[in-house]
Amino acid sequence: MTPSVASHDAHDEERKRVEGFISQCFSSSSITDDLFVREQNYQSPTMGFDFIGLEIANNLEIAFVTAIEEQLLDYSPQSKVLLYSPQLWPLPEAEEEIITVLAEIEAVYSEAREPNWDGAGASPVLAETYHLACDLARRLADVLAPEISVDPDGNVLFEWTGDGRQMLTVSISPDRRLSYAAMRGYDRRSGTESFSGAAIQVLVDCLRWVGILDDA
Amino acid sequence: MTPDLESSEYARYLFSSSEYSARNARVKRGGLLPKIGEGLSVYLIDGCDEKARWDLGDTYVAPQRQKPIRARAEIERSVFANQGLSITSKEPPPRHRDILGWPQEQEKRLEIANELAFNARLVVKPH
Repeated sequence: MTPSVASHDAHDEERKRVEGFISQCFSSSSITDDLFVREQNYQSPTMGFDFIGLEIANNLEIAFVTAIEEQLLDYSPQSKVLLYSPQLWPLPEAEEEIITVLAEIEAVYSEAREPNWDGAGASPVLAETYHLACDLARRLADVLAPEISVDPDGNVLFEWTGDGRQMLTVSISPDRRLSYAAMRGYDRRSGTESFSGAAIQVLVDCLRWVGILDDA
Repeated sequence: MTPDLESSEYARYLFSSSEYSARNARVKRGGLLPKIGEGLSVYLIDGCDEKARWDLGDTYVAPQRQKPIRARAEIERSVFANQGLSITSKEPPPRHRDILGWPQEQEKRLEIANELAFNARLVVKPH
């Protein structure tokens, strides 16, 4: 369950680099162990970058945001944060894909974290579901990025769509169930697994079966 | 009451990018799933021109969601029927329908959502 991560030393080194960057960008901000880089004078549009990714390093949750000014308020003051600027440190393509996926997960979590988020009695996306979704995204970082959605029962959905009738949909529930349904032409394959390495292999096999992922 | 026909079409109104992808021009499966034990809320759009289709959503759905409608999915009756789902009138509001008969098992629900999404036509609301 523990995601693979860079060492704390690497994080610290990165933080030092970022602090220098931040000191140039913010007139009165700092990164500390109890980082809460939240100053009213933050002006991201004038800094010229499209987005900033936040990695909360204390518990290895990942959150990438497009609106830093709003989103920072949601995170624990105890969190350590790394900031990535695509301008200063361009990311490999795979990293950019995972950033996009994590940003989508963050977006649906923000949208659906309260009960009745759809005005029709929907269940909220719980923090457990959000964490599992981020974990799954990291574990599937090497495969084609899914689109992310949410259903009214508070499950986060990963959706892959190929050409024609090629689809795989995976739902993540807070009780660690991964339900999936694959469609290849008029054939179907579906099931439910407990969140595990074996379950993720089942999903990868489904992506291959559907034809969205090439055989290794 | 406007009668449903074998050829009827229905609209599911969509409110955010978690329910549709404008970039990929498709409806997401999450936007087509009802809560377990409930029906999928749609509107009969037979005989409605483009403006009337948006008006239905703006008048009866957007106030409930407290958000502006950004898109709609259009799905033919046969698509629901082919998945073993039934369509029941649930008026008022006018033209409101519930799509019933969803299984309890999540994987079976996802199978249906795949089919609905594949056969849905996304219409993004003009600014």
